[in-house]
Amino acid sequence: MAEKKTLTFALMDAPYESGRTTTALRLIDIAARRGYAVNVFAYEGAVLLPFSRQQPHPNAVHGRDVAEENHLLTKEVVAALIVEAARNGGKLDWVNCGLCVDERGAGEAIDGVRRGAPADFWKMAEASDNTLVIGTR
Amino acid sequence: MKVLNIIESAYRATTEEQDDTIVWLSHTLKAAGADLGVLLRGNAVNYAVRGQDAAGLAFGAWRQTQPPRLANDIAALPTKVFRSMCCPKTSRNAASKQAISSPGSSASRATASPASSPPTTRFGTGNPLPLAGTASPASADFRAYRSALTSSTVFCGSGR
Repeated sequence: MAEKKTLTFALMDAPYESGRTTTALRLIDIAARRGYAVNVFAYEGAVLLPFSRQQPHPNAVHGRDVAEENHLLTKEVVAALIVEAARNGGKLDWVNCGLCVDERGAGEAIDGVRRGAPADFWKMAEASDNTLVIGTR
Repeated sequence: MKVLNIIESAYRATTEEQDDTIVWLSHTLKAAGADLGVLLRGNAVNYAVRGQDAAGLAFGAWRQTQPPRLANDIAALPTKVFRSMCCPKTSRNAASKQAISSPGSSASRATASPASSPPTTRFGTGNPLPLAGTASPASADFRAYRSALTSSTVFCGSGR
């Protein structure tokens, strides 16, 4: 049986701003499929990734209504990752930086996301096999 | 008022947005009546490459059903008054700068030797050009558009 690792990711980019976020979420998806214990510390704009008031929209340029467009919402991606980790015997612990949340008015997050502080990130990193920080540019 | 929309930052959150937001904006402004031209520059010239396939993105049980189809979005730009252009690799910087700084000029490095600098792409695979509605800055289409610019209004995508 493969070893169940503990990994920590720090994300900084806001949704819909960078391809780095997609890459980070794909890495987290792999870890979740392997049943790893995954910690995410969302800093700055990344606290909006699980923002619960995100809404899908139609796209007239594509000629598609809201159902056909089926727009990617990062809150749904985060929710799917939390479920996937649990389904495989792991856990995704998503921590939003509280001050970053406050200054952005992003307090309404999906279930499974908790409020924290940089000290949580430090503790998670200390307890992890490896930590990857994906900073904004 | 004519507008030249220069797109250089490429693939910035296109999987999340399911398109390129500046190409999308170009469609929308055109629909609102703007007289727009689009210049694909740098890595964004790859937007004109057919055969790109971003399908298959999945996170857990979530599946993306409408991946970005950038070549289609470029091809769908109204082509009679809205031309997409790819800079020749060897002279793209000079060509685009001149297009902005001296819209009335009829000469450029690109126009001087079009045969020696064919349109190309940095990623260079597949079946790159031409898409319907694309043209090189060396072409008569680009020269005509540039000469017709009466304003230096330029939109650019966000920085990298």
